[in-house]
Amino acid sequence: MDPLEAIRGTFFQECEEQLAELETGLLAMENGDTDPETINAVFRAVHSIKGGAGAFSLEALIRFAHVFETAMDEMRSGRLAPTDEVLKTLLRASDVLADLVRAARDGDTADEARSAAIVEELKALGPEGASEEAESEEDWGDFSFQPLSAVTLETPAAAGAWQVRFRPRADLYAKANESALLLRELTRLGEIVVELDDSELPDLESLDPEAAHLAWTVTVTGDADEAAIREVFEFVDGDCELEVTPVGGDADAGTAPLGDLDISALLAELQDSQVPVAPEPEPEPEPVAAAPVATAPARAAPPPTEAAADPAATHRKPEAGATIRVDLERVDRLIDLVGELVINQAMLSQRVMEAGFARASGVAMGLDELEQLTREIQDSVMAIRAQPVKSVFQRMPRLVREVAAMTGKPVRLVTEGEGTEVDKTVIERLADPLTHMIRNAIDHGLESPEKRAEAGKPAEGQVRLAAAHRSGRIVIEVADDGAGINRERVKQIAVDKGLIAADAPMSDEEIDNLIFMPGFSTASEVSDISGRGVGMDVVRRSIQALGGRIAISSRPGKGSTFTMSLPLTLAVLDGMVVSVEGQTLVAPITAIVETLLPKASDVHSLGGHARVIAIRDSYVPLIDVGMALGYRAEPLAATQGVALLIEGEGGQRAALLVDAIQGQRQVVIKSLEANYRQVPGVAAATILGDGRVALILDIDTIVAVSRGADSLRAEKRLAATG
Amino acid sequence: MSMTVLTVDDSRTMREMLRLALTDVGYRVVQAEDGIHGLEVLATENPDVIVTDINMPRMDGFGFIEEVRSDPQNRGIPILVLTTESDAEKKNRARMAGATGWIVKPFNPVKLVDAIRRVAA
Amino acid sequence: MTPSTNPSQTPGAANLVLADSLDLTAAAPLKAQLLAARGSPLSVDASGVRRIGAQCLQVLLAARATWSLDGQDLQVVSASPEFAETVALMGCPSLAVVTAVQD
Repeated sequence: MDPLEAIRGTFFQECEEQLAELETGLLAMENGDTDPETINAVFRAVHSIKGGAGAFSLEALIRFAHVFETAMDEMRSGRLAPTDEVLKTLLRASDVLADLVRAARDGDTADEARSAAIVEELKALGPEGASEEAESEEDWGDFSFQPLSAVTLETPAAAGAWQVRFRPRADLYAKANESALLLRELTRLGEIVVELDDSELPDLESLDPEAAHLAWTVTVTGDADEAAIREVFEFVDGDCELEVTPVGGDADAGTAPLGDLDISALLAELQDSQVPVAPEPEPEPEPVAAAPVATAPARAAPPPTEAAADPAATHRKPEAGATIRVDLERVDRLIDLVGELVINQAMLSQRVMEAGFARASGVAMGLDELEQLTREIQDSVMAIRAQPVKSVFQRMPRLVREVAAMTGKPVRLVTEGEGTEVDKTVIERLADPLTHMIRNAIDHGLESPEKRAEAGKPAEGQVRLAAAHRSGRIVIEVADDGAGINRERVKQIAVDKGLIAADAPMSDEEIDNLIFMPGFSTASEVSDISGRGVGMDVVRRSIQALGGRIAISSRPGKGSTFTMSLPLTLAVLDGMVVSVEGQTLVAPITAIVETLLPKASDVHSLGGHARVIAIRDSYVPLIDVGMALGYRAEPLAATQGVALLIEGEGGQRAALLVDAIQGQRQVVIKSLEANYRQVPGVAAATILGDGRVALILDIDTIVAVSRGADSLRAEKRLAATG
Repeated sequence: MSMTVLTVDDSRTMREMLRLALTDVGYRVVQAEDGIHGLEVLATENPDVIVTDINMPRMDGFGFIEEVRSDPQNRGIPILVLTTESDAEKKNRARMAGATGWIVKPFNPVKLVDAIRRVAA
Repeated sequence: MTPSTNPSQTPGAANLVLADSLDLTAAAPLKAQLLAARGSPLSVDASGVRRIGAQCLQVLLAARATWSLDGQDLQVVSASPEFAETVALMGCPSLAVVTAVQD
């Protein structure tokens, strides 16, 4: 891969980090953070983006970042106060900057009108007459990576000779500049004759070794102009005396150098002076028109053998003390192996127990320790892939601003627990449901400012996004301080859509949960913003697909809170281990509401094998898992088994009839698709302590059986075609 | 013996840019992310020249240069500051702190190598 | 350069081996080393010098002048190519006499 292309990748990756940093800083400032380091961090983020953009000549990005940076610099130097208005502009600017970054990355063009509007707003914040002038396009063009041919061939023709008188001061050396190197630079400009003036040199005894007693007069003959010569001394300007005068050309000047010389000094130094020094040999003629970008002059290169050996050497030292980057595949492999280890350890324990070792025996105790250790290893390994939810939470402020602008509702987003960690695979799949829920909270949850005023609430609505660990799971809440669920209306919609009977008695909680039903939200009811054809049923399904649950609680006039509870990882699952026809199966605990022993009087046949079971006031389908998976041809008598009341997709309930419950345990998930093929009704597999393979039930698919005899066959067709 | 360059910059992009340009001409590159990290690296590496950014978290370029120069052993190491600002004030502050020279960002590799050659053998 | 131009080392001269890097931090120690050797002929071995800056050149030039005033001989011997090239660049090629036989 082209190394520059790789760096470009790094640049865009880093931009995302800087943008997140930028937004975090601006939001902190909005909340009253006045720490100069916060302002500086924001400045630095914009500054870094500009710097990288400059290297890649991303003009639109450079220009915008420059104006943004100028405004931040004003703030940094205290000339611009971080008022709410100013911060709102800066936040919008950060959104535009993000758009420009992504447009640059994807080769698109961003919304120019929008960015131009913000540029004007930013300029209004800046110093008088601020513009992009400070670093105009031409400047950037000159400094960006470009082929050598474009920069090395522009020496103006100014044939002749120059006399350079150069007297360093001690400061020059104190800054680690070196006269020898400056003289060597002059050899690049033409043939030079060097004359050393050591007349000021004291004897060794009284010499201050770090003082500057030497001076030089150099005659440079070649094509260089005065500017080129002065450029050599650019870094030492002010730390030396420097005179550059033309030699020759006209007759008068021709005699000048000699006339100026102190003859006796010249004689004294005769031995040492007037030695022509040839220009440093250049291995290759310079123009390298076809040279790849980012190639520097060959003459600066030490022998290539050393160059080749070097990268390895530099890799020995980790870049940052605190973190390393690891290919995710390696971590996944490790997690897999630890999964095997857990299973192996469980098997070993079981064998030892079977072999009749006493619990207090050394072997059993050693195994206990091994188990402990295995758990710790598993936790630690899982922690490698864990990331703070911050990466998802960080995307939300922008969303809130956009939805707020579209709906005309002022909104403040409050986030809590951003540092809460959860498996990377879970995080990646959180963004969509969260986005939807937050849109929903603003669009449907919050009232208009007028209605809020009537209700005596502040005009600005609040949406709270919080994460926390609770009993081995992560709980994420999305809460608004709006009007709460309008239960009358929700019920009416459900009745109108034929989802429930008009006279169905329902608790408040049941009504609230109607919004999760498939088909509850439709285009006519959902606005542009929260809708996009997606209902809360989809949110619920995606949460369930993560092994999570979602619940809503709502108080009229006070607002609604959606609470999601998710496993910390997708690699292990809390399961209920059950037996069916001698097979061991695992049902995800998250789907199970309760377990019960069916009484004959509660079970009613609906003809064929279809049965329902009365649970409190309602009937739910009773599904024989053995039948559903084809383990048996005749259904088990309900009284001989155990029913698991489960809640499937969309909140429909069903009871799964199994032969017996073996217990609950955490199991390591093994993908069937990866190892075998997709099996309808089965989500995955695991290996139990005794070495048996147990299938993990796909609750939703099994529930589908209850809705139609051909459900599983349909699934099979899907699996076959898809 | 190849020349070792210590680059100090909080931007990963910039560090990689520098590494690319410098390894391309055969220099050995060691990197640090800010001034404090730079001092740590300096304690174990023996760079022939240092290229440092100015605006960095924890310890900025000015502080870093002053720290480097305050160690008698390191007084002779040439230090180039990277600066996007054509701002004379930044350059002067860096020189006051003991910087040897500067490189204007975004640099092109030729100017970078030229600047290094001008301060380090 | 021919071998005949090589100076013969003064018999009995003390020998001082220069460090490989003669930057500004090396100037003060070099001065001290030289002062300690004052009073007798000295041969300064520059074979290991990879770089030399103006301030160490100052010290060497001052030493040569001082030895000369003392009526003693101070010779730089076995100059490395880097040493020879740099001192020539700085305008005093006579300081470096390359003793290695060249063709």
